[in-house]
Amino acid sequence: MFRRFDEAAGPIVEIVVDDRRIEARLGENLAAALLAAEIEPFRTTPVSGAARMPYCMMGVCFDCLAIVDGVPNRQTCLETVRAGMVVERQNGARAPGPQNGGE
Amino acid sequence: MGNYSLFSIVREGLRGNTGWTPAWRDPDPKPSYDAVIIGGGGHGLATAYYLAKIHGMKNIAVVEKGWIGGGNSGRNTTIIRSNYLYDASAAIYEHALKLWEGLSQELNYNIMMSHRGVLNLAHDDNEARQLKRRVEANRLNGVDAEYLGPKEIKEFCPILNTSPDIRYPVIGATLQRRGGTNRHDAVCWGYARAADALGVDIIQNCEVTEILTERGQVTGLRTSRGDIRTEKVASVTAGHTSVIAGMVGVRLPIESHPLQALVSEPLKPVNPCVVMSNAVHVYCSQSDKGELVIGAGIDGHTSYTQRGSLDIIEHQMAAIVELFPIFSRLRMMRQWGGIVDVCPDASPIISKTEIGGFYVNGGWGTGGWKATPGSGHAFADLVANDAPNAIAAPFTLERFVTGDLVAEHGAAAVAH
Amino acid sequence: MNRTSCDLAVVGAGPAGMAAASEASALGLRAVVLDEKPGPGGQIYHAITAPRTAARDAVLGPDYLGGLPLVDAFTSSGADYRSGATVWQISEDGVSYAGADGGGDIAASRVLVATGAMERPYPLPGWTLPGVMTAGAAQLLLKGSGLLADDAVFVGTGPLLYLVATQYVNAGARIEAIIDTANPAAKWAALPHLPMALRQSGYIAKGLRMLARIRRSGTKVIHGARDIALEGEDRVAAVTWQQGASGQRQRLACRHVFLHQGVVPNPNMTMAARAAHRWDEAQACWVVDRDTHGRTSLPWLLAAGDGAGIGGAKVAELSGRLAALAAAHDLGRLDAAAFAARSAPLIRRVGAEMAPRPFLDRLYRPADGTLAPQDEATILCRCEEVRRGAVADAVAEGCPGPNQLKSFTRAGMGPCQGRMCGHSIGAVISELSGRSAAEVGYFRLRMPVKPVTLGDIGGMTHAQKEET
Repeated sequence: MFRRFDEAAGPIVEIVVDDRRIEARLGENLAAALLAAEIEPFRTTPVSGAARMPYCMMGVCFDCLAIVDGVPNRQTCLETVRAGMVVERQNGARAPGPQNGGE
Repeated sequence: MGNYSLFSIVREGLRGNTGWTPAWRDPDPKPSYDAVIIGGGGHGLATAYYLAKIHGMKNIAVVEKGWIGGGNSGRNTTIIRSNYLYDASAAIYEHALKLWEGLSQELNYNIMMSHRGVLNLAHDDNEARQLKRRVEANRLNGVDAEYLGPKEIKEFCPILNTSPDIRYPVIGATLQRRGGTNRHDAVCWGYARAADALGVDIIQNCEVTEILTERGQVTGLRTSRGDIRTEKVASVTAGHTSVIAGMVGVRLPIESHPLQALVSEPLKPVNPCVVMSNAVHVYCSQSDKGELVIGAGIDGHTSYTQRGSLDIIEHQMAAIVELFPIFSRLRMMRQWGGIVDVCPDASPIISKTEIGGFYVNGGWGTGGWKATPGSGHAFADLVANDAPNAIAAPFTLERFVTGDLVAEHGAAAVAH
Repeated sequence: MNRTSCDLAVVGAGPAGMAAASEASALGLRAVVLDEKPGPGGQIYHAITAPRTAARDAVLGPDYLGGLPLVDAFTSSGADYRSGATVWQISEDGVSYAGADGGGDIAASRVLVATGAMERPYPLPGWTLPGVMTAGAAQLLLKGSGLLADDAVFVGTGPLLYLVATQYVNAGARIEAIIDTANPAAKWAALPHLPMALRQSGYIAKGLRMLARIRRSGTKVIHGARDIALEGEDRVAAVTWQQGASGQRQRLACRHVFLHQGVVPNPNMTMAARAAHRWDEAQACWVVDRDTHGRTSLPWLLAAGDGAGIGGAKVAELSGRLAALAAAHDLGRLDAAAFAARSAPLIRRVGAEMAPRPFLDRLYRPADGTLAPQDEATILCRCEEVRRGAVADAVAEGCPGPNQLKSFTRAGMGPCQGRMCGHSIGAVISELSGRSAAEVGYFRLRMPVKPVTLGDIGGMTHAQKEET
């Protein structure tokens, strides 16, 4: 499991992951914050349902996807922690976005 | 050819799947054939299959520059429907739809035909009147067609935004329930396998560089894999019809344009049908994998590059997001382009030419896929008998001389 | 939706992009820099502008902090810098991007792709399991958040593998083992290139110091491991391998595995633009064709940095400056004499910095079997979960290359757009069909270079998107 060997990033804020409150550092990388909080796995694949976690941490592998503030398939390794951020783990294929258009 | 059946699946399961044979051979070209089809896409392979099956022409070959199904067959959005306005169009597309309905059985190959229904939207009163007229015409031709109002549209496809205050409000739609989609690779592979079993040589990586003629009659082909003698050459090369015809000096009334399509990330099932909008010129369906497949309109300029610019489709995407608000945050993963051959009347050419033994099937615009079996069936008849049958007759080149056009562009106002 | 125009649009704010933008601004060009990350620096100087601690600075070392002057020069250069901006299309008209500011289109006379390198995909059994990541990923977690994992096993080879291991040792983490997969014969193949490498002796000395530091720490380094596999149910639990010729299967329990097989250019953007590319046999990867200044086969497109060919951070910076000079010259803003005079010293320094490359390329060339895994069940395409066996079946049926393979298997059609499988699929098809990697080719890539929302393509503003 990952541990923090120093404490550099900004003030500690709360974010919500699947209804669970976790501590994160304001402005740090979201995937890193989720790893530090031992969130596991990040998602399951649409193809076989296999569990996945970040692999590249630099935006190329698309294995760290999650629903961030209601938007599915966000690359958490390219997201920055904001206070009150809501993260949901994404299992299988994503559902379509909020359905508040139309009649 | 091994038959695919429950028995063969169980047998191979027990044998560890070691007994399957390749679905088609990989032959070298023979020195001569009774007929050679240029182009190993859906239409070309279907033509070969029906030539062998119905007309008993088994000493024939399909030559393909790349791999089978790798051209426009592999680039289209596989929308199947037959609700065209004019009798001639309805006849050929309905002929095709009837063949689609039994094709998995006929080919012993699952083409994944899904009759999920096709909606054609009307966004203004004029379009609504045209669509209503088309529904009547369809019914007279025995083509299933219904006209739906906004409420019924919403019931049939709940994710469509039917509110009246958007840029392209949905005020009505036609529905063809027998329409739908199928699987492009499976169709090509199914026809290839069945044609191969009848003795047809399917020759891939074989580019035609010259069509040989003597005194206005075809005598053979020069290809990247050697010369082939034949008295009948049938060109089925969507996107390059004019290029092939140009080899024998035949000029066709065809313009070639880039056409684009996009595919989204996979999504849980959300779009139950095919939705087409003519005013915006977009069409959208959801694949078995869950990806949304979105086809766009053609670029205004003519080009042989197999790509269009995404700038061109910006307004179409803006409109589709209005029609389907839940798609606005949907990520598009891939985009590609193909080249479509368009005739002035937006109808195809299935015809003999001034060169004896040189036949052309092309000019299907953006909508040739749906015609694949009907086109192959009619074209095979033309190649075998050197005369068009009743279905192909309205689509010969003579119409551009007589003026007897099948003007689907203006009449049907559909996204072809 | 933002619309603006500029002389030079730079994609990527790593050393190449930052240097190019600084140089271009100094030459009077209007430069716009778009980068996916929240701050400048690229991967090498990741999070350098974020809050740091003395302890972390000590662990990351002077090479990391050496990026600060470059970053400072860039931020004060006057270039229009847009962070969190994902470029999804480039063309002769400019670039389109999606981002926190609503995204937009930027018209540009020249586009410079400085998108950097990525770690070479290293497919082995179990590499998709949670707990398995690249060594570079582990380093980014250390740089950005000070995260460490104890009892990790490092598997692979290459300078970065040893650099991260050294940083782990210095930070006080316990490393379970380093399993070096380099072919022992590679040392002898590399030896003829050592004299040239020694001309730039800093590299070699640094490397030797790293190896000594790891040895002193008592970390177990295993050589001669073959057929490495990762095991575990819902998370990696062990590494197993064949040791030497004896055939004895070894097993080491662990909770983390960090993989590395060197770095390759991330080719997607230049390939999607249809610039000419060539297969680089020495580095076993595809690289964009370019001249000394980074001009590609397309008149509007330049490429610099590791994304245009692996050379490291210093070369990236120099190549960025050269590309900016070329853009200025070609746009008529720098006369031929000044262009030549300014270019010459940069080109000389690139030559000097590249001296150790042939030695490093051969020393750390992936051993046979790592580019193209042998085990049928190994996943090649992580997105579509396509295994080597499926690719082999398709090749046996006559599938000639990666593009037709998409029809057979869907490999390369997932969200990563082939980045994680392109090189290994090429290697597998090459091996099975007996054709060279150059002949087999690569996926035909197209825009969008990254998945982009319909709303972004449609050019809707952020506010409109919120409404819908």
